Amino acid sequence: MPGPAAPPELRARARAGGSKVARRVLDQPLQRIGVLGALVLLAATAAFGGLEEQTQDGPEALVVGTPVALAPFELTVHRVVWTTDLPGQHLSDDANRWVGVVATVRNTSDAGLLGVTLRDALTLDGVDGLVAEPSDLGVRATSVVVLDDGSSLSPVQPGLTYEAAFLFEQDGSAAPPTTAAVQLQQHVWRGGTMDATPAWRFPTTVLRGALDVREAVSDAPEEDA
Amino acid sequence: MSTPGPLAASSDDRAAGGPAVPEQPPARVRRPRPRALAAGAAVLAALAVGHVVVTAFPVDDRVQAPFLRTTTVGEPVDLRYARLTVGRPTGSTVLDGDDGTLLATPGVWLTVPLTIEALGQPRALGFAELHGGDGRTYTVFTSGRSSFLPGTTQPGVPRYATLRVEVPPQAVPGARLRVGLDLDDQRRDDVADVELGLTQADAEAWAAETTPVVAHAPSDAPPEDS
Amino acid sequence: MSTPPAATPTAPAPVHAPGWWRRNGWALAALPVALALTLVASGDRVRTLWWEQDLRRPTAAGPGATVEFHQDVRDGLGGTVPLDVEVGLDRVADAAPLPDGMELPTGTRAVRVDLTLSADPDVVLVGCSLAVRDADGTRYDYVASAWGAWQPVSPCVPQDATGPWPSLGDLDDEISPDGTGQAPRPTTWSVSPVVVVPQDVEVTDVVLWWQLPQHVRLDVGG
Repeated sequence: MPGPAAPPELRARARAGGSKVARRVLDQPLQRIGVLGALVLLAATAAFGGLEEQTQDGPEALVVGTPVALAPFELTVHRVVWTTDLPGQHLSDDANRWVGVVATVRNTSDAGLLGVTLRDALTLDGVDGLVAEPSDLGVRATSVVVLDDGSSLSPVQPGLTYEAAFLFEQDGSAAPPTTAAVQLQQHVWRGGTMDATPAWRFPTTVLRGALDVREAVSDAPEEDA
Repeated sequence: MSTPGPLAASSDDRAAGGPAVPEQPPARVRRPRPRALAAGAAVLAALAVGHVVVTAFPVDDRVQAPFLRTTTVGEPVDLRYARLTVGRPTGSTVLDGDDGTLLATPGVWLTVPLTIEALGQPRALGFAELHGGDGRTYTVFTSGRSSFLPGTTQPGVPRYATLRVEVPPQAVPGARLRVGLDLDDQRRDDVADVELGLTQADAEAWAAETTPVVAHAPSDAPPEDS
Repeated sequence: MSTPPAATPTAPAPVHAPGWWRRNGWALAALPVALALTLVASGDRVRTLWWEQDLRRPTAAGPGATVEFHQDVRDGLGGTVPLDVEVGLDRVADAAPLPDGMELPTGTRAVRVDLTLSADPDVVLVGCSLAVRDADGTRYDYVASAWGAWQPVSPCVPQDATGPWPSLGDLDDEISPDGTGQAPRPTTWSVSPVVVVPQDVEVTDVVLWWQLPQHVRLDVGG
């Protein structure tokens, strides 16, 4: 154990002063005083909120109709609708319905991307009875379809602006949703833990918004049968 | 590393009149000998040279790069695994997928007919990519909107397949097509690099075209309109 | 009378240090051997990832002969399953009539390969591949559903009595709890798969394999 912390004159005065406490404290080695002192300081911060639980920095609010840059895409969410009849798409049960998020999708990177990366970019939360299993980012779409022709949007080519709908299947036994939380994720271009080749990985939520959901009107997206 | 010299006398407040402590020689850092210095300098120099060599020449990329075999439309190209002939591309704003569906696009559709003759054993080509004249890379997958799936080609029996890809019109002039064997890994293998010979006039004509262009399913019989 | 040892040692006799060549002779001799061993050891992946991914270890039979083939097939669950079969090539001839629905592309012909096989009914033989080869070594595979025809998926077992399928470990009971319900495979049977080859190709041998690189090579008689 290293020697006492206090300089010799101070210790001599403490001894002379007769205070047992002072003598004891000043005889402690520096190590012990350091730890104790830190604890005392930390406890003292409680007086001005130093020990209060910190609120997490949440994602920003999603605004409908404004394009958002989420590498590698640029998404503009327009509306959320639900429908039981979507020609060209097949429900796993006839009583189920589709919840669709209509959005404009643009690939802002310089290479084409597969639909699996796009499906990570927009997820749904807060809707009961969705058939797909929720993940830590929310529920991923079963498919993303191009509004003009109903085909699955994959690969997503750069330089093109697609009008698309992210489709989520909802169980028929649950009531049609009136509101849904749409979450937007952005990816990072880097190598992964097992594979060093750079790719778009690690989607993280940057935007979140609660949007109203209404039933799709009959003249909304037609697809070729 | 030189061993620490004798411990310096501790400077605490032991009484000056305590037992006499023999005077310790002051601690001294041993001067490193010239040979140790030179060895250290040589190691640092080797590290620096190695770093320069590795970063100045992109060795990894070049060692693993695919072997590009360039060709043009109509010229057969011999790859290790197949002999490939690329036909004249056509385009439109609407694609007939040959299965009854019509696909629209915000850009233009490009269809490229290919003739594949496998060499040595049956081959299934899985890789294709379009390097647009605008510098971007357009993915062609084995299924989906932009796809190329010729299936397994028997040696000696030519396979006629069509590649379809959607691109913005500005990517059409100067576009080059790459075709290879393995979808995931084209390192150190032959890849055909085809100059499609497309111009701005082609791009404008196709962007105005509404007659659907047909992407035939792969077959062993030459398409009638070739 | 003993005298103390001399205080000064006698000067040592002058000795020439052995030359560089003599000192390093053995090492130099061992150097090429070590280099060769290094190349072999570091090239092991050439063997496993390339050489063994093709037909390399034949069990050959002359024209008209029957050959016994044995292989310990890796079962995908960490172990091996023994495979013992006797194969004989009866005939390779033009396939007439063509299988139902087959339409030959121009410039090709169909050859029928007649094989006779014998094995224990409980040997798993379903996952086999068949091909014919010509004098250049070009391989023409048997394709079950192509050119309009639907031939049996497995070219080496009877279609209605294929025998046991490979075990899938724990999934076996879920897939077919009480067996496939098929008749057991006979101990000896014949198959006639049809392969499409270009018109001018002369078939020189037939190859049959379950798991690369071992295969059966049956030469076609003159």
